[in-house]
Amino acid sequence: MSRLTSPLPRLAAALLAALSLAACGGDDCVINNTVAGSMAFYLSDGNPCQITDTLTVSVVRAKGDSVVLNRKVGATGLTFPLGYASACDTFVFHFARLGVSDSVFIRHDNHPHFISLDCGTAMFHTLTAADCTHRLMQSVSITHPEINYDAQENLQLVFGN
Amino acid sequence: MRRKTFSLCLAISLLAPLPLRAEAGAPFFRGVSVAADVFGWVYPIFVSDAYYNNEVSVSANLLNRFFPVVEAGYGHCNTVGELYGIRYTTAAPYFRVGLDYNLQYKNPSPAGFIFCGVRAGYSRSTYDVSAPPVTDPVSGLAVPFQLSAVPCRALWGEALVGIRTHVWRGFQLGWSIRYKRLFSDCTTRNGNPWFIPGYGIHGTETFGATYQLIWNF
Repeated sequence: MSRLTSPLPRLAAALLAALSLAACGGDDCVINNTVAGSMAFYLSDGNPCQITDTLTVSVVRAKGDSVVLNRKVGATGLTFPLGYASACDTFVFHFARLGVSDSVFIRHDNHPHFISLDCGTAMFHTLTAADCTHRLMQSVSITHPEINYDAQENLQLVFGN
Repeated sequence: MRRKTFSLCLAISLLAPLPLRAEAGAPFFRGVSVAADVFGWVYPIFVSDAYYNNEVSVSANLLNRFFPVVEAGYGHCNTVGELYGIRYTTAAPYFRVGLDYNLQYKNPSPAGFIFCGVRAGYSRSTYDVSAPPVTDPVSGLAVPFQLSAVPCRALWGEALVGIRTHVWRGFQLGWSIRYKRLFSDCTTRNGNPWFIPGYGIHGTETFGATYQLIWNF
């Protein structure tokens, strides 16, 4: 029996070392689990743009619009939600002092995302196309199409100088 | 450090050619063993049937030192998470091939022997996830969350240590503790699997155990 037990201390040490290494890993939940797109405003010369007017942004839905940005002065961008079941969302930008509105149309694919039983689920999106009206806006372009937990600029909205 | 740990048994198993010369004249092939893992059968009955692996294995005894092994099993998971009420289901076969190395080759004992070994595992499965409806931030409506037949091809490696003890005639009992490391983890834009048949709970590395009934022929 002593022959059986002689290598055990070394094996136990190796096993404990492996266990301690494994303890450093794990499938931890993300701390910030908000999934939202990010849009930044630019001038046509490429410089960042700050809207001096009072800006209200709302997303169009069947039963009354939902406000995304409420009477903000000095906005340089915004974060926006996308629909889980819809393929296209429309955002209305209203500039109060000028009394002008523009719309941004965003087409997207939706990807149900499973994290784990203990961390829940989320809905990720891939932007496929974007367009806008042209009263004050010049263009809108997709810079990073994937909308997930990574906070990054997804859209560039360009205004005329 | 992790690579050192994982390759420890691989090095012991494969880099010890010298004693082969001492085996001159002794039979190279010493028999075949068939084993069934009791742990996988007992666990769902007495502990939890949320997930388990049932497997059998066949190994050859070469020089009473090397034991090439083929393991085949069926992994099953059907569980509901308590926190979010998410149901996760999958079921698929899996396979492993590898080699065990008798650490007491130089000092054989009738009682049994301690061994270490390595395995390469593979499973091809699909999994389903269903969760309570989530609220659409734009429409405000409840949207069902459903993932169906998400494919997963998983490849992993295992390093193990274990003991085989002689019980009666050709019958043995054996247990092993296994360190597992995932090489391809099936992560897609839909997320990653929660349970991989043959591997266990998803993660870069995990541990497993077997308790086997072994018949030597």
